[in-house]
Amino acid sequence: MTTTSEGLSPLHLPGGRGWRAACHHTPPGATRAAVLICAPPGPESDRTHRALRQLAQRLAADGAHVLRFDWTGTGDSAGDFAEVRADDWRTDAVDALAELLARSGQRRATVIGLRLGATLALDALGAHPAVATIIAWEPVLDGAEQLRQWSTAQRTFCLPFGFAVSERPIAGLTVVDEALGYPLADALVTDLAALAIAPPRCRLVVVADQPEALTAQAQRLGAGAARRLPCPPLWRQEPSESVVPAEAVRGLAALVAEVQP
Amino acid sequence: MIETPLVLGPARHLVGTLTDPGNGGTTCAIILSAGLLQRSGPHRLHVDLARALAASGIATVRYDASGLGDSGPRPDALPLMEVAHREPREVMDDLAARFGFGRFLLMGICSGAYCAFKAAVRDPRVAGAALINPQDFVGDADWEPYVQARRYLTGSVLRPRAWLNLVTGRVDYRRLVGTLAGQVGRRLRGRASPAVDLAAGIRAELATLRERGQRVLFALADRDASVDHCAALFGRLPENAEAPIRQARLAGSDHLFTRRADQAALIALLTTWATTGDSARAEREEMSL
Repeated sequence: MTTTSEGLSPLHLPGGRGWRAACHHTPPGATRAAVLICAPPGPESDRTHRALRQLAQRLAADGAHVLRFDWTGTGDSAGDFAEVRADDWRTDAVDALAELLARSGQRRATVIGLRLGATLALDALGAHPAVATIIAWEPVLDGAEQLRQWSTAQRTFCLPFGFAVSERPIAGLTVVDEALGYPLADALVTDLAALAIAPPRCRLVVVADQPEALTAQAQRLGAGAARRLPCPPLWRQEPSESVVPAEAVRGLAALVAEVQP
Repeated sequence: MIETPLVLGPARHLVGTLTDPGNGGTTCAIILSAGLLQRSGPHRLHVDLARALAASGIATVRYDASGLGDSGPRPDALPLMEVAHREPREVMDDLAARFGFGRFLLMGICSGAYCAFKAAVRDPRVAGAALINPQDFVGDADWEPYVQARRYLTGSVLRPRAWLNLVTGRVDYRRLVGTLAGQVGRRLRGRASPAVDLAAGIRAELATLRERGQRVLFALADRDASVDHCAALFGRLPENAEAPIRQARLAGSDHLFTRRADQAALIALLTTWATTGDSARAEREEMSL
C-alpha cells in the first residue's frame, strides 16, 4: 500500500537527476481544484515543511488534489545541493505540474509558492498555459536578495559559536560558502543572482504579513491582487520552535477557494 | 542504489524512504526523527547519511515519527514516552515482514537518540544504537536544572571566558542564580541529586544491552549540551573492556551539525561504526564508556 491512512501518497517523479520526491494529497470526496505547492529550497525548507504539509492536508480536505515536491538536490530528491542549477529547478516545477494534472484529471491548476519557492514558480510557470493563478506567499523578489539573506543567516549562526565565516565575492555580491548547512556553489549562486522575475501571464496574488512588504512585492511583481495574511516568519524560526501558522493556513485555503478556475 | 518511498506502520500512517544498495543484505539501518524535523533531517543530513550507508552496503530507512514530517498522527492515544520505543519496533516489524531484514541499527539525533536507546533496550533485533547528541534520557523535571547547575560548578568556574561573560553581562543572571539556588535548596531539604537514581536506571539498561551484545555509540558534539547531560548521568564514565559501548566526541560541532565539515565528520563516524563494528575484538580496542 502506498497511500497513508490520511490519503497522502509519497511518490517519486522520474527524471531530473534521478527522481524528485513528492507527496500527493488526495481529496476524500469530489475534486474541486488542483494545487501545486512550491516550497522554498535550501535552508528554509527545514523550517517550513510542516506548515506546507498541513496546508496541503487542509486544501485536500476542501476538495483539492495537492502535490508537494522536493526540488532537485533538496529534501528526499536525487542530486546534491552543491551541484544543482536553476534549470534543474525549472524542470522540476514543470514536471510536478504535469504530474498533478495527470493525477487530478484537472486541466488547470493553482500554484502556491512560499519565499524562493514563489520566485521559482513565477519564473518556471508564470507563462504556463495550465496555470490559472499563482499565489506568491512572501516571495523573495529576486535571487540576489535570497543570497544576501542566506549570507546574513549564516553569519548570525556563526557569531555565538565563534565559527569563522567563509565567504567570497561573486556575481557582484559577497556570498557565504555555505548557508545553514547547505553549500552555495558558484554555479547556483550565479544562477540565482541572475534570477529576476517578470510579471506572469496568469493571475497573480501576492500574500504577505507586513503591509509595506506586501505593497513592495505586489508592485514589483505586477500583481493583480495583494492580500495581507497574518503569519510569523516561520522560515526564520528554529525548526524546534516552528509552529504551524493556523491562521495563515485558513487564509490560504479560503484564497484558493476564491481563485480556483 | 535505489530509493523507494514507503508507507509504514500497522496503521499505515508513517511515511519513510528506503535507500537500498541492492545487495540483498539483511541488516537495515533506521534513522529516527530528530526533534520536530522531517525525515530528510537537519540540513538534509539524514539523506546524505542514508546514501553514504547504502554506498557502504547497508540498506537504510528514514521515516517521520507520527505527527511529524509527512506522517499522520497515531490512531491510538499512547503516551509519548511509550510511542518513543514502540514506534521504532513497529517499523522494524514492518521492514522485517516486507523486506526480510532481521537485524537493525538505530540512529538518532537528540530525541531520536532517546527513541533509539529505549527501543534497543526492548528489542534484541537491534544490533546497535547510535545515540547522537542525546540530551534528555530521563524525562524528569528536575533533570535539566541539575545538569545546568553541574555545568556551572564543574565547567564554567574553570573557564576564563565564562568569567569574562559574567563580568561583561553576557550571562542570564536570573537563570544562573535560580538554577544554583534550586540545587542548594534541594541539598538543604535533604533531597539527593536526581542523577543518582536516574543514572542507575540508565546504567542498568546499558548493562542489558551489553549482556545481549548490542552495540551503543554515544556520538557527542563537543559544542552541545549532550556532553553535560552524559557527564551528569555517568560522571567519569566507567571503563568497560567487555562492553560493546563507545563514545566519540565530534570536535567543534553544534547540536545539529550545521557546518558541512561537521556533517561530513558525523557521516564518516557513523558509516565506519555501522560497517566495521561487528568484530568484538575491534570494539574492545575502541574508546569504552
